[in-house]
Amino acid sequence: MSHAILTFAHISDTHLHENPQFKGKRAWTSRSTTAAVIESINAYPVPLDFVLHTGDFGNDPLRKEHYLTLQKLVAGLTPPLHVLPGNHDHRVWLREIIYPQHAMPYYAFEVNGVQIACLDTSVPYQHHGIIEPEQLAWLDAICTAENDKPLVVALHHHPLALGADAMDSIRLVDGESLHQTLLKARSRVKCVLFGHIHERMMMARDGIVYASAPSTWYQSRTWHGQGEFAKSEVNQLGYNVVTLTADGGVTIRAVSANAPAIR
Amino acid sequence: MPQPLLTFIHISDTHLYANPHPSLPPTPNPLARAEAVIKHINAQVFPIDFVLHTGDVGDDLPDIEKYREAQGVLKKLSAPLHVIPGNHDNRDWLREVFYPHSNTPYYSFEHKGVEVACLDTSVPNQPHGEISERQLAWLMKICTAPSDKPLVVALHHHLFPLGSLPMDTMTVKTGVTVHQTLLKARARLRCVLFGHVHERLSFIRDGVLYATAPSTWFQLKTWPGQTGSFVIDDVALPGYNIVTLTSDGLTTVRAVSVNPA
Repeated sequence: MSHAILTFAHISDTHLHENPQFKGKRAWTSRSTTAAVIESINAYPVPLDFVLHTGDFGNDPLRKEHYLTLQKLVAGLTPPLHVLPGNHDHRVWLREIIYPQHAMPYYAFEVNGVQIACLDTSVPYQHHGIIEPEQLAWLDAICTAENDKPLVVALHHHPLALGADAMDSIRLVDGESLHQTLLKARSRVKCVLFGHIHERMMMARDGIVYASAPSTWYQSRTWHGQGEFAKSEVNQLGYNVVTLTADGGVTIRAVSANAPAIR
Repeated sequence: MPQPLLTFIHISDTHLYANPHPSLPPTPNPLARAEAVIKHINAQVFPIDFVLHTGDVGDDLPDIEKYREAQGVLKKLSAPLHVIPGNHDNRDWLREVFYPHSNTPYYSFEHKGVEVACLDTSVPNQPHGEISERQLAWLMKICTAPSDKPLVVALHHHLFPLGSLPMDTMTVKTGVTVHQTLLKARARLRCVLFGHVHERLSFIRDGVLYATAPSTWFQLKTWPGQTGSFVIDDVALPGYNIVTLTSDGLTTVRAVSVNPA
C-alpha cells in the first residue's frame, strides 16, 4: 500500500441559518444535520488534515454579522476548515468572516505538498454559476505552472450538464472553459470536488474526475431526461473522505450520517 | 445537449441465502434486502438498458439448484441482467445458470454501441482475486483493438489496496498489471465498476474512474491505516448506482440509497 499523503473530508451545502429553527420545509433544521456531520467527522478513526466545504455554507444570510453566528456553529470541527462560496452565500461577507486571510473569494492553499485551488463560481443573487475571465486566468496560471505537485480543485456548481433541465439551468454556465483549463494540468489534477446538486455523484470525462459531496442537509435526485427538481427522501446525508496516496492515486470514500431524531 | 448513449444500473454483492456469519454481528436477511433494491430499481421512471451485477450473487451456495432459485429472484428486475462471479460464487454454476452462452466465466457484450467487458477475478474457495494469463490476454486484445466504441469494464474485487486491513488481503493480486492493461484503452475506457468491499467508494488512477456499488445486503466501513478486523457500517444503507454514458465522452455515476424497512 502506497502511503497516504493527505486525507481530508469533503462536505457541502450546510445551508446554515441565523434562525436556529430554520428548516425550510424540510424535516430537519440545517443546524441539526450539520451538527450530526460534525460529530461524525470528529469521530473519524484517523486524523483528517482538513475539511473542505464546497459552498452554500449559509442559507441567504441577510447581514454580514450573521456569518459570525454561523461560524460558531462549525467551531467544534476538530480539523481546520476551508470554505468557498455557493449560490446561497454572500461571497464578500463569507470571505471577510470565514477566510479573511485570503484577499479574494477564490484562493489556493497547500498542505503536505498538495495544492488545493478553491474557486468562486457564485453570482450575486443568482443560482447559476460563472467563472469570470480574471479568475479563469488565475486558474490557468495554476494549471500551466511548471509544477508537479498534485492538484485538487474545488468549486460549488456542477461544471458539466446532468441532462436534468431544472438542475442544469443552475449549473456553471461556462463549465466547458473550466474543463479545458483543467485539461492543461491533466496529470496533476487528482480530482475536482463540487456540491450544489445535493446528490452524491461521480462524473468523468477526458481523464478528469469530478466528485460531489451530498448536502449535509436534504438530498435531491436527478436523472437524464428529468424536467423539474425532485427531492430524495431516501438518499442519505453525509460527506466524503478523500485520500491521496504517494503513488498518485486517489480514494474517495462515501460516509453516511444519520439525521437527528425528529422532535 | 449531449445525448445519453446508455443508462444502466450497477448492483453488487446480493449474497443470496447467506446465513449470519458467526464472526460477525447479526446481519439482515439478504433476500429481503435484494428484493427491496429490485423493487426500487423497477420503480425508476427513466429507461434502464440493463442491470450489471458485479458478483457475490450467491453466498457459498451448496448446489446449482440454489443458483436457479437466485435467478428467479433477480429475474424480477424489469431490465436485462448481466452478472460476473465474486469470491462467494461458484463460477461454473453461475455461468451455467446466468450466462450459458459464454464458454468462459469472463465475457463481453455490446449494447447500443457500448462494449462491456465482464471479468472473472474469482479463485475457487479463496477470498482474494486473480486474473489468469489467458484472461489477461483476452482483456489485452480488447484494450488494444482498433475500436473507438466506449468501453466499460466490470469486475468483483478491488484492484488497488485501500490501505485498510483486512480488506487488502482480498485484492486482485496482479491489480497493477490489470490497470496497465486497461490504460491501453484509456481513450475509450469510460469507467471500471467493482464490488466486493461493501462500501461506496471510488479510486482514481491515471484519470481512470473505478467505482464500487454498495452491497444490497449490508455495508462495511474502512479508513486509511485501518488494522484489525472488519467493521460493519450500521448507518450506510444498501443501494445501487445509476451509470449514464453520454455522447460527449462523459460518464456519470449517481449514488442511490434504498431503505429496506
